[in-house]
Amino acid sequence: MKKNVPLAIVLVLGVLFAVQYFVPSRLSQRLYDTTLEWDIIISIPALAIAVDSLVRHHVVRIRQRRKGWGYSWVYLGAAAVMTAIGFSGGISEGGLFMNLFTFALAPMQSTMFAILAFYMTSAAYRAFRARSPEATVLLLSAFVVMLGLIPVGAALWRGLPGLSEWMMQVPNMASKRGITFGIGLGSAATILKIILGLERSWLGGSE
Amino acid sequence: MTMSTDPWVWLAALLSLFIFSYLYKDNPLFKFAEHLFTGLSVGYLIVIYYNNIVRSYLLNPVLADHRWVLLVPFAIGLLYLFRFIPKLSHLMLIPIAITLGIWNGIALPLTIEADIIRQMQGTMINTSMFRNPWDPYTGLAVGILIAVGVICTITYFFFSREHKGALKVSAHIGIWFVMIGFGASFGYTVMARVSLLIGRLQFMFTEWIHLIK
Amino acid sequence: MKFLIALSKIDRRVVYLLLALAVVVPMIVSFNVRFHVDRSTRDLFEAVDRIPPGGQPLMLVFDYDPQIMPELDPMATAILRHCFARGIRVVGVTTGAQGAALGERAMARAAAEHGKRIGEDYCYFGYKLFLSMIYFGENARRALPVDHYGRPFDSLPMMRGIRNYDDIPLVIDLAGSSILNSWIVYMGARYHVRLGAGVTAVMAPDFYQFLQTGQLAGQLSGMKGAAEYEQLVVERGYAPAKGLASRAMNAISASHLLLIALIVMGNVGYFAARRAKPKNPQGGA
Repeated sequence: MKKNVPLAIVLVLGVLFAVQYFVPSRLSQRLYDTTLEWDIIISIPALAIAVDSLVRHHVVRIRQRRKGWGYSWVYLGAAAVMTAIGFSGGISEGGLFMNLFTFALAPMQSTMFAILAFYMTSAAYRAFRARSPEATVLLLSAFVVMLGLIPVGAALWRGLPGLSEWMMQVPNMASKRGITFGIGLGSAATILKIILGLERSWLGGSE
Repeated sequence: MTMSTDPWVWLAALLSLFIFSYLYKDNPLFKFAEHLFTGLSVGYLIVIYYNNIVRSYLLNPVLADHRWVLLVPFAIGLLYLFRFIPKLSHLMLIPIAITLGIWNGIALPLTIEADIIRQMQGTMINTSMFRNPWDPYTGLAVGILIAVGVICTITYFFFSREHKGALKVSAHIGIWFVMIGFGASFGYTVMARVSLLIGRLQFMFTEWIHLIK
Repeated sequence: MKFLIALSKIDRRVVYLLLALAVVVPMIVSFNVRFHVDRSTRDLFEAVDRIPPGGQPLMLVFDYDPQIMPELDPMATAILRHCFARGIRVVGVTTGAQGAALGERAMARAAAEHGKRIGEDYCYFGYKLFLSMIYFGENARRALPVDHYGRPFDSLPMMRGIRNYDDIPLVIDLAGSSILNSWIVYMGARYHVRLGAGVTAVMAPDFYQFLQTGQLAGQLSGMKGAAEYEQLVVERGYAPAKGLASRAMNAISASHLLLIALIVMGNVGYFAARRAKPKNPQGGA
């Protein structure tokens, strides 16, 4: 019973809304309209679950005095301070909340990704080898695209940017489309399995 | 060469340096910045979510417009909170099931249309291709090349049968297309990663140290 | 031979330093270059340019966060400059919480440059759930009840007459994740929304298939796409000078050349080492 009711809900709503697409009557349209608005509101309390999972790990780490527990105070303190500032001072541009976003959060987050450039360069230098004919094609394709993207490429050979663009729009596109077909069919199959109750991992537990 | 006198710019620069320090090795300054950043983002999420979602879709319509009916979906959403009561945690599955049902129902025909049917249409040889058969983007020759590329790529990822005979040839051609695609992706990834570094260094050398005009 | 083998054994810190120099030096020694504009960029530019000034608004979706801001912020700025200089109204929104701050800043800056007024020339709705944007296809007023600053939809003059996506001639999603695919699937297939995209370079190769089928009207690919758009905006007289992306292209050129050189050196060292290796008498690899 505990699991049959949710499975029945998924089946009924899944079939209903899949069919609704093909039956654009006023009634079905109204149902669709109301459901969308309601689902926005249903999702609101889910934030509490998200915040809980983000905070719980650090609370446990502090309680158990696990390695690096001091940093968990930094995490919880930052979260609490940012929340308090946002609720008390508002979120307008130029305020303390937005300044903390612009001059603390944003620089750290973007630097975190900026350092990837170093690792990528080092890894490509160490591992990108023309070991086989296939790897050589990959390497040449990468060179053409990289040179085609920059003005120096056009200086080397005027046709290079055009060749690079053609590679993106024809052979690259064909291969990505082949992969998209697989993803599309896989997604459709997974959706059907969820609607029909064959895929039950979302129920949790052993099923 | 001068330096910024704005304390906010200094804060941004120092925190960026803390993160950059990881390039040397993991260290307490990096760890401090890492935890500060994740903590700030949780606080930011809570405030923005409340301001832009909770107030807009629930509090204002109910309290200002008196649309009391919206308390029904909110009550359903509150079932999520039973997660914290282990004995009743199965009730949390109700809002999850509603959302899953709606999303999957809506998504099924749309995914088939956007990711399968439209892609099949784009792969088919059509009469317009005969008008200028050698056009490098819309001509017949390219149309055939795209069709071959797509079919061969699919066969390369088809593992339900052993790659023998025609399937082997097709899969082998597929690998070449896949390699060109991956090579192109690599080329673009290089640009993407370097762009992020440029963005950061542009800030450091434009706004913090006034080295670049 | 030893020298050739050594080419593939450069210390990682030296590689890091070389990359840092390849990025910083071209930023200091600035030079202006013209570059090839891709069809996908030109298509997006033309799609924006065809929107009648002062009429129905373009929707710009800031689906990105600070980690990919250097690629997508210049796109947002170039598109906004184009729109505002041409008198096209803009509705800004994001389905990512962190995009809310970035979108607000980009819109406020561009609007200030062109003397545009909020509510009349542009609106900013900030962070909304993706579900809200699907709902926009049914009922714009209920989907975006208030803007980012708490002003009701009905009090915004330029939103009068906007019922759903039928009244939005073009939606441009600036994205760094698979959210763009969701826009194509949900809004493109269901509401036949005319979609354009600005994507990070990592994602760009995956979306050419949607350009070919017409599911995307045009696409900007990474920093290069932003630089191309900036070039078109200047060439058509909508802005006096190019922006950040064009300046960054010099650094991208240098870093690409460095990486190609490093990969070639690595391969030379690899093959030299393979040649130098004594052959296994048993014939093993």
